[in-house]
Amino acid sequence: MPELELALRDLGTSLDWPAEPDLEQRVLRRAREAPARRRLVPRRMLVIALAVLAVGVGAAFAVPQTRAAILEFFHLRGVTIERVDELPTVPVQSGLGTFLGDPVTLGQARERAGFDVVVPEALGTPDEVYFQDSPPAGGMVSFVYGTSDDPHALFTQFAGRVDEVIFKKIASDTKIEPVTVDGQPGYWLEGAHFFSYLDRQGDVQSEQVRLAGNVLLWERGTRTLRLEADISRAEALRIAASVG
Amino acid sequence: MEGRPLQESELVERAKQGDEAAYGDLVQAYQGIAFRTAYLIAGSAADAEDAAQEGFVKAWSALHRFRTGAPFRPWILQIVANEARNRRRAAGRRAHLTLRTVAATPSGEAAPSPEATAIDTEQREQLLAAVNELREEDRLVIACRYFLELSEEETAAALGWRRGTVKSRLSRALGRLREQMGEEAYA
Repeated sequence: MPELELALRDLGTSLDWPAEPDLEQRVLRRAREAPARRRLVPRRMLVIALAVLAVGVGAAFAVPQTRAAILEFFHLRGVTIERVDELPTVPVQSGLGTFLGDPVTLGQARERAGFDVVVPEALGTPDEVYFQDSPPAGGMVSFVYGTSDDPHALFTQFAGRVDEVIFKKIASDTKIEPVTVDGQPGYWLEGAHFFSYLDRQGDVQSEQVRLAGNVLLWERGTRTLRLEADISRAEALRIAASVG
Repeated sequence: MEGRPLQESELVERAKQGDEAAYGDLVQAYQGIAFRTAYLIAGSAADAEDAAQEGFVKAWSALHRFRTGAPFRPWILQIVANEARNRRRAAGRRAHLTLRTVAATPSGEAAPSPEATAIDTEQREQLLAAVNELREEDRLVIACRYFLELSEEETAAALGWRRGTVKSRLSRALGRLREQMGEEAYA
């Protein structure tokens, strides 16, 4: 080993670190309380939005019949957000993992995804990574921060294409604002929401996302990115700007 | 009753089944390295302690997702480091940690000659001052690899970088450190 590295290692042995805390009892006490403290219902359910993942625009329109009037459209690559006056209800799910796909490592997600996987530097390394095979083509990679039972942020990416569309339905009172991230278009949506998607067999599944968060959807090159967390628009834009 | 110490993988398996004592042993084994890693990132001992505690609690509830046979240390370091970053962000500060050397002579060792100690100490202080002057990214990767002696994989997990990034940033950081120390010092 070169001299500098040896000197650094030697220096490491003489550093004045703060005293190491004894965490065992405190951790175990908290661990015993943890299951009871887990929230079963999201904090905010005032606004419900629905996202539908569908192959082809025609299929998307055939998906759950809300019979609700479409009031407005917002378009991004691979995503169409429509404002409707009524949304369907779906059962409450216990975790995120079921619809995010297979739990994988970041390295495996990079190998399997049909696009370059990006990471929001501001959020650091994800605590859990999931990969779902197509649809959409190229798959979808999701990062969970926290745990899937108690997530505090969800970051999803896929290669958005014009012929494959995720439909997101939002209620008439959902706040939606156009934003720009790194010169590319996006939308900021405020409110908790429902999520529905097309599974590997092509069946429509609906689940309630447990995050009581707001959503930022934006384009980056050929990718469409989505960040969901209980954070402000400014904070979401700051995290979006850190994607590299 | 005396038995051989349990292997890490056995402790993890038992903890996964809900064995609190086994998880307690894991906490004991890794709280030191977890706390120091969090301290480097968060920049304060109070935040580091909080991050380490919260990380171990979160890891306990996420244990069922931990892959059997995988090393536990990078996993827990990743969770704790993430907590540390969250706290630093919440506090709205950049990590501006200044490391210090221990002033006292190490106990239990034969005291070296006063001259030797003085030279050693001076060299260490100079090197540490140069490390402290590096930009955060450089300081973090050097501290993880040499002061905490984390592996490349563990450093990548703790800092949220790819392994390749750890390699390239480390070599760049060492280059900058050499420049700061003067070319002749550590050629």
